[in-house]
Amino acid sequence: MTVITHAFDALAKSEKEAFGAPDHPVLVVQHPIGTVKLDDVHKRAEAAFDKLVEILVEPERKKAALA
Amino acid sequence: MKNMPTLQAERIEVGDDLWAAQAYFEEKGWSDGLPIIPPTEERVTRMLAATARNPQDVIGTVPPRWAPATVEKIAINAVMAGCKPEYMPVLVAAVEAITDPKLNLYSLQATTGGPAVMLIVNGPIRKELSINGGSNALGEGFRANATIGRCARLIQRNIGGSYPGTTCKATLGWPGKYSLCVGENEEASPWAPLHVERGFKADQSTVTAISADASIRASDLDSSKAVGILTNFAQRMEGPSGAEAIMVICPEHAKIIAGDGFSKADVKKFIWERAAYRMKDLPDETFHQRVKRRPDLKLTRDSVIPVTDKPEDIMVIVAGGDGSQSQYIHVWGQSTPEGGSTRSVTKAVQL
Repeated sequence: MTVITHAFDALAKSEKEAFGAPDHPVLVVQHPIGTVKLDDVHKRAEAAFDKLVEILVEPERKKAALA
Repeated sequence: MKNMPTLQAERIEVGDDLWAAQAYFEEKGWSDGLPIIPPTEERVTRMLAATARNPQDVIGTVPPRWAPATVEKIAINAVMAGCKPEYMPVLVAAVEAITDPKLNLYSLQATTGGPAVMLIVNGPIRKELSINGGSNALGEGFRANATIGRCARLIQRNIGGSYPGTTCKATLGWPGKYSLCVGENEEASPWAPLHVERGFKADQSTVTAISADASIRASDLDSSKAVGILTNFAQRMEGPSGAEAIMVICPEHAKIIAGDGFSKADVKKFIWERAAYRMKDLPDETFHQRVKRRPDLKLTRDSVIPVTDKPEDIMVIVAGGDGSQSQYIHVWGQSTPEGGSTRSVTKAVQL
């Protein structure tokens, strides 16, 4: 999977198309990160964590459901 | 026209009115903002006749679309940019260079940093095509420089799919992104030219591609000694380091520097030892980020980072006309423990 900020959303879409991987999972977080205070970066990471786990385990969950 | 190659590109009917055609190209996103020459079949065929390569040969894949740059597609963009057919061998070498993975064109286009891709041409082809390396070498006024550099950019856009705001994420960019192509002024250089330094023969022609930010003028009308000139160069180069750096030395400066016994390697070493990025001067957050990015350097507040990791990573070329005005060009791309996020690439021009 790939984690990006929303400013790179269109670029990520273009890359997924270019590599023939339209379903490649991408987690989009708020932009920017580079100039944000560290505490706020941690808060954003915490807020994104559940979604990140969901993206990572979803394929396995689907496989298990089909089995 | 005899022996016309079979072209694969889609044929599009557009009215004969030039401005209607421009409006169409603009609507399709096929221009850099300047008017383009419509790539008619006849013009593209004439362009292809200037190269021995098969029109369907793939020279490289161009990010971010990772689309194949065939010789035909290069020729189409060459027409659009206003190139002469005889530029084709240089354009093919330029595409080989910009699509080499070492350059990392994807990052150059995707970064908010907005660098240009600078093309440096060496060898006899400079004279044959009138690629300027003399007065105003980095400026306007010369068709070969203007259109070869422009074609390289159009290829990134029209083949690679690099569009400002979506797939090209430059915050500001800079005018060098329109076109940045220069010939080294080998005749006015006291040192071996760039391509010979990189293992090519003097009578070979090459194209070098390198990431380039906007330049900083390194004027010195006061110094009559190499040490003075080089110290002034080093002071212009102070600041964040990169994987490489470009010092474009004008002939008058080069003559004085070499006259004082400095080889090109000496020039690089002298500058490298003085063009410093002093950790003690940095704001706290900047300092801490530097420490995190380069754990291998074990940086402290007393550390001084040179402009590049090694003296030989400073590229020195001679270009320009009369005057004591050199220029320093910062290379976008982090210096990393692995050697940097981008590296310049030199390819031979096959005639």
